[in-house]
Amino acid sequence: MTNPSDPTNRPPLDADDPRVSEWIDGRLAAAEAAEVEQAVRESPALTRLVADLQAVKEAARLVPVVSPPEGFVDRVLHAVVSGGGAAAHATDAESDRVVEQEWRAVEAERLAEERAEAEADVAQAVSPVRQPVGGADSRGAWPWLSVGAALAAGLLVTVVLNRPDDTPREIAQVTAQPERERFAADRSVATSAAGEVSPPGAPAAARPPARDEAAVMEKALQPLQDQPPALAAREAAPAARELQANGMLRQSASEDAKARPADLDGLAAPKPAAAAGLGAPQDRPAVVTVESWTEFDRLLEAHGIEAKPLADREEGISADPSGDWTLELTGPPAAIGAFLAAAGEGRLARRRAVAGEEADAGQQAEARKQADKAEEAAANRGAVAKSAARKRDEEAVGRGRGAAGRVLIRLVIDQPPEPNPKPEPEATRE
Amino acid sequence: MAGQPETSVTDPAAADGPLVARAAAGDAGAFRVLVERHERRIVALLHRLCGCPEQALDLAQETFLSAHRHLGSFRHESRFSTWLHAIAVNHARAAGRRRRPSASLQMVAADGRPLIAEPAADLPPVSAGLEREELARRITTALDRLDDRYREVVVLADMQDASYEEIAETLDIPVGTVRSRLHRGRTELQALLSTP
Repeated sequence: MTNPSDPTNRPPLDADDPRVSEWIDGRLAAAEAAEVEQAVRESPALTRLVADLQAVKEAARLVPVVSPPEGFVDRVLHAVVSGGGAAAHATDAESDRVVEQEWRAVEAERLAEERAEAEADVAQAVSPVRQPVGGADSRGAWPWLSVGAALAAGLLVTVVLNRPDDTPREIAQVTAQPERERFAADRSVATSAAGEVSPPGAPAAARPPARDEAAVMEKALQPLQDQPPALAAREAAPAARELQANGMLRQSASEDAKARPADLDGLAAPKPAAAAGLGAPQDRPAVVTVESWTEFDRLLEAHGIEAKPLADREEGISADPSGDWTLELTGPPAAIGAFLAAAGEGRLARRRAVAGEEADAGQQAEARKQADKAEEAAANRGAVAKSAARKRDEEAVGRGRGAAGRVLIRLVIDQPPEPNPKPEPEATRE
Repeated sequence: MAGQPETSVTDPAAADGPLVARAAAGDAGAFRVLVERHERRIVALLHRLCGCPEQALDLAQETFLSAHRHLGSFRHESRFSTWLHAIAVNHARAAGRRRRPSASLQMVAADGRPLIAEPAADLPPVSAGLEREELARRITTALDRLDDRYREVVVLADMQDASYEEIAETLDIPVGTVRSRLHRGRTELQALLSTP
């Protein structure tokens, strides 16, 4: 323990020691004052500090003070006499009121500042701040990720729900494709054939089938795909005939229908008749059956038409291996139609049936039925040919051209069977 | 070194004692004598503490009114002047808590006469070479920036010439605290004055 009163135990004097001020004020005892005086003399810092503190003390006394105005005592006594306490309270209340008003003003100002600061903070928080992508704070990227995921999911669902059903479409394509290809090939052949056979400028032959026509043709031929060839051929004939009659199928209904082993010539043979007089391309000649060349020549002469073999044609078509002839008839379309009606398919058979060459009644009925059918078809063809020829003649006349038709025919010479030779007597043989 | 104050806090208590007793008994004349005796010191103290002459006058009036109301509670254990100074310091503290006005060296009375009196004492010029008015302005500004604890002690000691014991009794603090606060207040005031 140190005793401050003991000079030997006192701490050394420093700038913060209150004894410096006490020494300045002269409040220290003589011994203690001497000690401080010695320390101040020995320490320049303490010497400078003492000088500064004395200057401050002297300067403080220079500060002017207000003197109470005259009448101050009377005002105080008047306040005391007139209820000093009340007056004092009134003064305090007035002062408090002023202070309260000032406080309210300051408080309002403070609240306004705080409100503005809060609004600024809110505005800064609400303002869109570009969040660093992949940064530490990736909360801003979550909404975009959610939107992207939702869009991707919706797109996936849409694709799955609207996925095309390829199976039936493929079947339909497989079914329709050959027909399209065949139709395209037929159309090209028809176009080329039309340029060769039909007179130039024939609009019906040169015009390619429209798209709807192809669709109608495909629709008409579609049932044939699933049927036996013979039946298909039988059913294809009326369809093709109808198409031809409507002018939608110019050349042929279908290669399949033509390639079937069924005898279309005998059943319908619509194409030559339809082509006759129309100038339409003709891919298969009409069958004309006569008993002899003499009869053929007589018919030609009777109808005023000419026949020319195709041996000199580029295709080199000539007599078939079967012995039939392919000829090109040239003449007025009406005459050709009449020729085909007289010597066309089934005419010879009809004539023979009428002549009683067929002994069998069943065969006769059948033959008659076929003959009727063929005659009807021929009549139809003839009517169509006549109508088409009429139109074509009108068009030709309109164009200033001569009326001339060409048609290919396959001439079949069906000679009547010779009577059985009588057996010679053995004696004679011998 | 220091000049003699106009009135001393160390006036004989016996001089104020009978007057206080009479004033407490309702003698207005006795109270008038007390007011006339201490008004200058109280106004000067409040002016140096709050820095505003007008507020100092208002606070001085409130101080005397408060003393008059509480004369009955004065126990004569201390001097009346000390007790009166304590009331004035309390009013100054209350006013300081409300608002600390800027220092003003000009005050005009109702008749237009400036209320600023002559310097407290005729002192030699300051050795620092500063002009007196400039030095007074800077001291007033520095006092305003000084902490209340140090300002009260410095004002009572260096401007009111109160003893350490009277300061301790007025502020109700130990004498040792007065010593340390006075030295620290002077050091800080010197630092504030040195700051340009």
